[in-house]
Amino acid sequence: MFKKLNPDLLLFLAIILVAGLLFALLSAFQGDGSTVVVTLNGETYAEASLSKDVEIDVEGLLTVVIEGGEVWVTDSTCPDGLCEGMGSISKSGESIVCLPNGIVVKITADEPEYDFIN
Amino acid sequence: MKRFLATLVALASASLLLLPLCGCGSNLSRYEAVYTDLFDTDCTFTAYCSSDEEFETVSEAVYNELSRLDSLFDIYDGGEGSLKDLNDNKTLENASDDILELLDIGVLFYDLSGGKLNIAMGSVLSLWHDARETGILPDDSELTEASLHCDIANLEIDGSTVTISDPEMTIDVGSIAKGYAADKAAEIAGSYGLTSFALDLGGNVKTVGEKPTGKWVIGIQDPDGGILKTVEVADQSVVTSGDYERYTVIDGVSYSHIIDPDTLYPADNYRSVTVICESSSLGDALSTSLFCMSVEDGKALAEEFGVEVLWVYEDGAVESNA
Repeated sequence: MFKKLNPDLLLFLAIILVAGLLFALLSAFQGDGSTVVVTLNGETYAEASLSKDVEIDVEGLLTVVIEGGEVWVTDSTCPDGLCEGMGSISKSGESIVCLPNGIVVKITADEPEYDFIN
Repeated sequence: MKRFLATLVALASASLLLLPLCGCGSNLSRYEAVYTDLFDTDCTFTAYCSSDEEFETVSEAVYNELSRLDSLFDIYDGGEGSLKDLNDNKTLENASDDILELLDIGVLFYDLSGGKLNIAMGSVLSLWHDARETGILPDDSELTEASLHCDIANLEIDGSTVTISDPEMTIDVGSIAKGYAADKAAEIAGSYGLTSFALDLGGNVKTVGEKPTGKWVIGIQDPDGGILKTVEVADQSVVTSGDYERYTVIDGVSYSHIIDPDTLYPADNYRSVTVICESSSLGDALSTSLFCMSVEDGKALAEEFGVEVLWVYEDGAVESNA
């Protein structure tokens, strides 16, 4: 009923399947590796995984919200509010800056998707 | 033989799939330092170094160079020998080479841009600077009065002596200083033997060499969110002038920091203009010039320098001269 499959092809498919499974498994374990780094006056203030929902209060100056793989800031004490106006970021290489408070929120990765965003 | 070949192909495919999981073979690590107290923007120094100590040494030297230039070019808080000194006293003797070089770039680009880049319009720019601080728009009469004191011919450079012959005129190099500083700081980093690094001074990116994994990747943002275009470069600068970099919202209207010398109001032809070329000084001067020019005039100017330009329109459309 079934035509006998070529053993070479079977071996080929088997190896691809195993490699694919292994890849998926390892990827799932390490997430996409993106980290949200908050710096205050050039010093690292906090680091958090992009994939875990959390709110970070930075010395009462502003709050960094990480939710559903997106990052934004609220409750900033700065006079211009430009940092809140920047909206949310989600890709490695993207950042939100609050110059009056000396705070930079950046998504980093070992090899970020973008080195710089203009 | 056939089986052997099939296995080989399968193994090669498998290793391709697994490749991204392995670290690359290079022994250089990526380091990054962020400075928030320079040039009224956020500055990043990124480098591939072999040790923490190496990066810290170079990063400190880069910071010191940027800080030195920031002080020299600062028209609000600069000290003796700075452009504030020049603006206050209308003369500067024994001006530093950096100031002389930067002023030369400014004068050159005044001519090349048909007056669209004018470092002598400090009087107009300071009114807009105040507006961004106070949230109150400048009076048209004030702007017109200030615009009478923007004639770059009144900036006289004689050897190392700089004089401003109009007592109401002031210099503002905000449109070209970051590009110049990035070039200079890159020279410092290079003098330590680094071959793979980049500086980002608020939208003013200068790359040197490639990353161990290939070219540097720079995203041109959609001001309304996301990335419009990706640029990959090595040994090139990618300089963007955008209305979203520095702006203020007054009565629901957004006013950006790039002022058209002809209208005395923020230029609003584009959301951003990006210039890709080797020199960051050139990129900075050109991107500001092009921001106030029509695409046709801009393309002609870009062609003179053989640089690539990306114009981003209000609706997110991107035009390129490449």
